[in-house]
Amino acid sequence: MNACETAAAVRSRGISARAATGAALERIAAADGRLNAFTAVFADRALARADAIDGSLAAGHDPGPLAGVPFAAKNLFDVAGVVTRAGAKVTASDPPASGDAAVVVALERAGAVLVGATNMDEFAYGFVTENAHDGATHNPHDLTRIAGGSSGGSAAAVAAGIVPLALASDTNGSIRVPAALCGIFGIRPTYGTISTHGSYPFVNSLDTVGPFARTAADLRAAFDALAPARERAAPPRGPLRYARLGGYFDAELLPEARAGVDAVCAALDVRGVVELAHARQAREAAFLITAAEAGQLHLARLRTNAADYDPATRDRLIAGALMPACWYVRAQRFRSYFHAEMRAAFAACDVLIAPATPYAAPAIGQRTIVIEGVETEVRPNVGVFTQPITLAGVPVVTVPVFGLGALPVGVQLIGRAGSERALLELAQDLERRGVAGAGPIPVAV
Amino acid sequence: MEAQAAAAAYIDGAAALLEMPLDAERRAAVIAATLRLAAFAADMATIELGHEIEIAGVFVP
Repeated sequence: MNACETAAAVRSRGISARAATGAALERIAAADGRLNAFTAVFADRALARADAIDGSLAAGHDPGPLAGVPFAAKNLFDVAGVVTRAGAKVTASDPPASGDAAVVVALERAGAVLVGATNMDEFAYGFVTENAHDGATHNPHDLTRIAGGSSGGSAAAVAAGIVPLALASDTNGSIRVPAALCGIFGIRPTYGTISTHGSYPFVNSLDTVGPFARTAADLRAAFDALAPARERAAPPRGPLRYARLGGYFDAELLPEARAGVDAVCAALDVRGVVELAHARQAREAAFLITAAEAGQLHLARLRTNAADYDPATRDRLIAGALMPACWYVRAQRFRSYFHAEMRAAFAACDVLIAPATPYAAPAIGQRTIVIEGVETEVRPNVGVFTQPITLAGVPVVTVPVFGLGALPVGVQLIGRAGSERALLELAQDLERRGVAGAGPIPVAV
Repeated sequence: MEAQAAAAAYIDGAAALLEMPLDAERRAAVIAATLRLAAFAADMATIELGHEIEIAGVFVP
């Protein structure tokens, strides 16, 4: 059952929250040996929480719109009494969190039940979830392939039907990339819309947090629980106008990724094409800001514990910590410049449509991929289409598109700041029309 | 090669100043990462930014 169906069944007392939670715990036990999506399971906490919901219902109280819905959280979110690892070894001796992250509190306040923490790239600095300490998370659609990152564990858990919802973070694409590669829905909200309190920071000026779901309606229900009421109140402003992002966003991608955008654009009768003249530089600026802020954050630990870092993360963090300040300040000034470019792009349209990744999921361990005859590195380039949008801080819903190849691809629906509701309604419309959707639970799981 | 040498010299100096120990293998990887950052910074620097453009402190879409 998806999240909305589960909540309806629990609220009507068709099933108990304990049964829904127990079933999720059983699915973890049955499938996670193949997926490696989870790094911790909170069975006692989850069952106690479920019993409280059942008790609340029995007493005639409303436990919330997500009553009894099991969910997972990327292991960079604080969980009371648990060390917040953020995919790292150097954090293992940190003190346990004294409380839950704001997003965990928000989902539980809506009645959802946290069942476990999920795998990720170390400190969220990657697009593959091939973690040196916890191993790689496997894509439920093909276990030899990556789930994407950095929120790969959360995405795989949702794609495999283990939990209907999961929490994740997106700095440079860490929700949008794994949503695309695992074939599920994900939302990167407007920067600042959902509280990051209690999440391990990566790049403060770019970090956002948000949910994954297998249906657009579930994604919307999760966003409603996570976003403040004032954000939820932002209404759609009449019929939406669409444009396809061309230029940078229509180059250096494989046919299946382009076909995903073609399918969405055909369904919406999109004829206009918009180019962001400085998309490449926007990606570069996001790259530089990421290196500098993340490097600075880890400087003290890198001096004494560098050997305990994932090698894929460590050297980039050190380079960022030593980076000249003028590059960082220039990148932040360019960010202002790019905001103006995005405002201009939205003058003639409401939603920009672009691929989420340049290809479907690569193999685990794959280092390079050939695009238009040119061999390029996989690790830094999976997020080539998400990073420029990061710099603008605007909301993006990634919708999954199947049937274009053996594996799903994702399409970014990019809106103005605060337009999450309109994007979520559009995602639901595309799902209703069969253009987007998570499809059946993968048989590989 | 000139960029490589410049990056190596810069990393050696910055690492010393910030008390960041670097063994030979790590030094080579950090220099490679720095060269990538330098290439991005150089490309971004081709965009002319007026003096009125300040850093994006608080996000305003």
